Amino acid sequence: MHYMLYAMLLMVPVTGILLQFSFGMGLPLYGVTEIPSPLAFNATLAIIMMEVHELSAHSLMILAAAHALAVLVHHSVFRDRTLMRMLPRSNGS
Amino acid sequence: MVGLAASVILTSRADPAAVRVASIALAVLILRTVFSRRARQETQAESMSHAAAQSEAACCPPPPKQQIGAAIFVPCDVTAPGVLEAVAGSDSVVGRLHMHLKSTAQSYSSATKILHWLMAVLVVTCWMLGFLTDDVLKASSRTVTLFVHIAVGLALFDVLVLRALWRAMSSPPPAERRYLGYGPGWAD
Repeated sequence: MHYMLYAMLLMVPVTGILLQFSFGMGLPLYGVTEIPSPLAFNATLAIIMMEVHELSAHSLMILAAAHALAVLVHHSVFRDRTLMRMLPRSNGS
Repeated sequence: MVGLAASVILTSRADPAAVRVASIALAVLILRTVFSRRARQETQAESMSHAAAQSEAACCPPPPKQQIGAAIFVPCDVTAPGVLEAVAGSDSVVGRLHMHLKSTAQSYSSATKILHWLMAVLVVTCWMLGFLTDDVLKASSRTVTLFVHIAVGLALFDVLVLRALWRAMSSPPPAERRYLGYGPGWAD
């Protein structure tokens, strides 16, 4: 479950970068500089990457929602500290 | 205590841990006094006598009044056994830093929490920007949202790398509960 979440967190940026490159467009680094595209425009690859990027982004959101739902279940059904221990003001007490 | 811009507090291994912790706390107090004295020159004499009085109370040599912070040797040694543990639990600068980096059985470390919630904000922002770019906006306004989407996405990637590194070098608290009889693991 958590490995899926981490996998999607990695998958979405990587496919996003590949999507940008498959259009033959460079990758802007915060407006400071730009990595030029190592690929020429490739319509097939661009369409595949667009779908994969979008699908993995949506599955990331679904996983994140499940993650949030799970912590609420922990908090109000199991009544443990799973939520509390990640909240900013919690400490060892 | 060596150096003022970057202070090093040297302690003696001959003293018990409690005295060494007290010495470090005292050194921090003296440093603070020095810094506040530098900021407010008019209160110079008052804070100097304050620092000197405190060092005498803790049985340490009183600092030379004219060159405070230049060379004050407080007897302590942090490498001696028991000292790190005592410092980590104390309300000193080192103790507080340690507290922010170390998770306990009841709570994640501050570093972990910052990375976690930063990532949560970035993921939701990035997803909404992507949705805006792809499905809502007309072509003319897409350039800006796409640029911000890419910037936020790259920031997310950077935080992910930091988080993976931090996860490898720190130890999180154990899971609160084993999951519904499926045994450990499926939630990992």
